[in-house]
Amino acid sequence: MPSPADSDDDRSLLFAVPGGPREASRPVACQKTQVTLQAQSVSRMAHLDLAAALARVAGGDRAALERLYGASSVKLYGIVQRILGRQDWADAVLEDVYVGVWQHAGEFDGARVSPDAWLARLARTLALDELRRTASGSPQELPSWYEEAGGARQSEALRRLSACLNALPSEGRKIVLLAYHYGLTREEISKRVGWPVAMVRSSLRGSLAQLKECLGQ
Amino acid sequence: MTQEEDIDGLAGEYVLGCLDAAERADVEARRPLEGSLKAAIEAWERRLAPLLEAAPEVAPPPGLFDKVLARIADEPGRGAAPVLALRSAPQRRMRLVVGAGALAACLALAVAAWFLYAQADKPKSTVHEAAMDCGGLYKNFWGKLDREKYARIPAEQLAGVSRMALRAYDACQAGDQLDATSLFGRLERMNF
Repeated sequence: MPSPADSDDDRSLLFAVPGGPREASRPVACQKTQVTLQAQSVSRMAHLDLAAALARVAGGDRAALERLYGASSVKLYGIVQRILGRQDWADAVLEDVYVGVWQHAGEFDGARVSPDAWLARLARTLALDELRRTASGSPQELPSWYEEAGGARQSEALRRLSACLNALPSEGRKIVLLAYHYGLTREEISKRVGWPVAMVRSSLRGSLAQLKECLGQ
Repeated sequence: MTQEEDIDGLAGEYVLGCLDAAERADVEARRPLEGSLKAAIEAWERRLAPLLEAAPEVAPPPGLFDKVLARIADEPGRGAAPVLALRSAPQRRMRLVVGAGALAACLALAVAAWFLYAQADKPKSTVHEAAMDCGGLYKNFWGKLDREKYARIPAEQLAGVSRMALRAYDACQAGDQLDATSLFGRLERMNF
């Protein structure tokens, strides 16, 4: 198990890393902001701000919620929209995310998880729940970069994870990333890659076991 | 599926996001009840979180935050209150879940109370006792839980326990012994 300090290091870049070069080619419905933050020092500040803002939100501070929205919504909207693939659904879910933050900020425990990871988890979970409820099927078009994890500027944690992902057979890696980034079910993945569902399932389980072993945690 | 469930694989698939709606709901219901599943999910969230660095950054439409403000206009911050554990469901559903949870918890308590009184007041020869083991197992489970513990369990968790017990009973009645045994076993091992 990594120490909490290590984990925080690993996750603190979440809102600071701009999209990799491949993402520029992805067709998106909304305008993209080209936020180019200068790596770690900024991210650490954002990290501290987020934790403090969450504590204030927990105390009922609406202005703090707005600051939090300003600091995190661009990233969370990106995550949510990629999963849902439709702007109207993404808008509704992002609203849910910040209403959820308002109601549950007091449950955030900075000793266990970094604030950006806590927010991203909330956004991902709500987006996946919505996706399953609407049963919209898989996205029409996938960008070309999904086969590789991460962009040019990567945190140490992402480099480690990328190395482990790259050690998987290429189809296995593709399936893992299709699931993680787009929330595709085994059935949807099966249609996309032309494998039987059972084979997708065993590939996923095998990849997960291999990843866990490779990451050594 | 093998009898020994691959908790880590299930947790990994949950975090990856590839479970279908029913499987996902099942994991979410079990999550607050099963320590090993909860820990496995958190570990996978930690392992895979770095991938979110590569997520695109997209500006939400202007005015979206105003809608958030409008929705929380009537709510004081409840963040600090010891509310039910975040199940990470959207608010629309969260309310439903919490409402249904409270109702189910009331039902569960009523059923449990009935069993306790029935056991205390009546002589041993109850009507269903001889009929089926399923009833016995179900009753036995509720009979063994102690009332003080009920009070400490959040309604949502209690509803989850109740749902699982009913599923176990249904599986037993339907003749699915494997499933019933596994579910009752899981209920037995639960640590409140």
